[in-house]
Amino acid sequence: MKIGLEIHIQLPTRTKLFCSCSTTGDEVNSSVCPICLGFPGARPTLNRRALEMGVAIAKFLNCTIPEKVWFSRKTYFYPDLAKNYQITQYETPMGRNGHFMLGDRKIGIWEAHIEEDPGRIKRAGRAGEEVALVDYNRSGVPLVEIVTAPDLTSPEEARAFLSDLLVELRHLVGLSPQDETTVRADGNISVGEERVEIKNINGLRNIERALKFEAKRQSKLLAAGKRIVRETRRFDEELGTTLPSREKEFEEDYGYIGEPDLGTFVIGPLASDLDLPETPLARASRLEREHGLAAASARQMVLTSWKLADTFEVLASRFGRETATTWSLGPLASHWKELQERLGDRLEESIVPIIAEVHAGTITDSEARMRIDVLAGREAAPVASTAPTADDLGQIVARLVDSHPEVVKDYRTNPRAANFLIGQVMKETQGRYASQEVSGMIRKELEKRV
Amino acid sequence: MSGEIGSVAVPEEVLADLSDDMREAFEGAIDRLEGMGVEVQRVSMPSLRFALSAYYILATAEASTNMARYCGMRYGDIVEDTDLGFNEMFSNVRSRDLGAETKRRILLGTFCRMVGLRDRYYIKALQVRRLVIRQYEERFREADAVLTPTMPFVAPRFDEIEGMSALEEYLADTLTVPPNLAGLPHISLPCAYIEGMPAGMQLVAPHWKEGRLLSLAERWENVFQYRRPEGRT
Repeated sequence: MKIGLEIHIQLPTRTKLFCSCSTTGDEVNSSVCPICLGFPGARPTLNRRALEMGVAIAKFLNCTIPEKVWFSRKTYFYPDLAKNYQITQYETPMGRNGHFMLGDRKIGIWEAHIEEDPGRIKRAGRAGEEVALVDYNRSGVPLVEIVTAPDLTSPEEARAFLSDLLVELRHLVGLSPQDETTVRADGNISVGEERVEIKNINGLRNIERALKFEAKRQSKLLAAGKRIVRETRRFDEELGTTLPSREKEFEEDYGYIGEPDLGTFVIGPLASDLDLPETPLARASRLEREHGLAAASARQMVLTSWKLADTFEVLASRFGRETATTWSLGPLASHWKELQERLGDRLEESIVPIIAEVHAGTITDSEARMRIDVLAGREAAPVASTAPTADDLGQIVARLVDSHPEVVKDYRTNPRAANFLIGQVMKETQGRYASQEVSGMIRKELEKRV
Repeated sequence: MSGEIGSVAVPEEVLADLSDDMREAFEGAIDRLEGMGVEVQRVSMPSLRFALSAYYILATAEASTNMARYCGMRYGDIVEDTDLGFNEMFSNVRSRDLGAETKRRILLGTFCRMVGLRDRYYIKALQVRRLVIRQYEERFREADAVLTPTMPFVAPRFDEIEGMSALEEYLADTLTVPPNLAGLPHISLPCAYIEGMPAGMQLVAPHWKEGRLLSLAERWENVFQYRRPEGRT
């Protein structure tokens, strides 16, 4: 089975591709101007940020990037297209002949280019009296189109590819996580000889569903000794099936010409000077390589949070891979959200000392775990209404020691019994006191009673 | 903006297509320029002969897309039955409301950019444009400006225009099109009167050298007596 995708993803710019309208309009037709409404005589101006994002994506996809690019008019008549042509890149995409690594598999990228989105048609009114309305808020919103080679071998792989690509692009140019549902793709799929194109599928899930349905449909046809016709189909989300597209069956002729209202853009230096940041999956495979993490663990860690991976790298450099792995994938990963919310920028400085102690053997695993729990706000203890002082700690310790005579008894033969009390105090004080201080005071208190 | 024109290049190719009276008027202007001390170089710029064709292909290709928006959707009037499919509705609006010359240019321009014809017309025209630009650049190495008549024949009266074909009308632009195609500054100055009608000469300068054109125009006004064009009062 061969699958190739043409993927459209919105670039997260503040303003549109060729005008200063905001890319986020609350009300219908509220974010529009003469340019994105295609007024006669209105002239486009290229959004520099969108150009930069396009270059970054092309470079990230290992494409050959031309020295100069220009734009083209792709002419077709459609009610949502204000000018009846779309400004896109035809002769000079941002990049060509790249690839993307899906695990160990090299997926070819034929090209990546940027273009403007048309408006949106919305249907309203009762059945039979339905009217089509156009919302131009989306008109002129920048998109990147990525075209893959037919290197994907199953619908599942196509989805995995898209999912990985989005993870990387999210970090690279700042896509929002909603892109999993707003990503649009055309899928070309052939089980036998002839390929079928499924146009305009929305969202990761539907892309996989459409490809799965189409793969099955084609296989059944072949099994029945029938031929597959080359055609364009569409995906019906409700029915979960692909249907022949109502559009005409001849190859559309877009009559491309260069966009005379925009000049040429020299992107060679921009591309070569651009330092791409390390992307999540690239980082995961580096962690896998450098620290011997299992592939799935490395991926999980990086996807949980970029900062968790940062913390892991700090821990690994200070306490070695084993300690770093145990604590990062365990207690830290499972409470990550709360830890981030409660500690913010102080997260690393709060966590590292705990791991340092457990690594040095001065506290037990379970105490460290508990202290992390406390930092994460789990099993919240009553919070002191006034700022704690050493006296408060003394009182808490004295009370706890008094109420646990069995610990005092154990302590005579086993000094490690004190750990239980240390844990209790840490829990009650929510980690407000350094553990050395707590354990020192507890030992002092216990010694008094021994 | 300063600079003087000490030399002009006159492309021989354009002289062949001039009307007799225009050629005579233009040669007279050349003599006068030489009298002013301007060196006149007789040169060859073969690409100029193809500039008009290239221009009409590029201009109509662009115009045909510019005009696409007047389909009744946002621009133009919808009076058609809205139950029609949009393709049919757009076609009806365009057929009804656009004028003959507009339609002619849309058809020509759309034809030139169709798959299978695009390389032969649109892309070829872009190549001709590059060639025109390059030949101007070559001339500017030897001369300060390129000199031609402004039109190949005397400006027609309105009653004469009515009898002209579209092609004849387009041919009137043969000499003004090349500098437009190349995006170069140019100026037209009256240089003779033929049966009371003004005949013009056109000077084309390199980018950012408009000053040369203006200062030559000033010098020209000192040696050439402008007349009011003939007209009814």
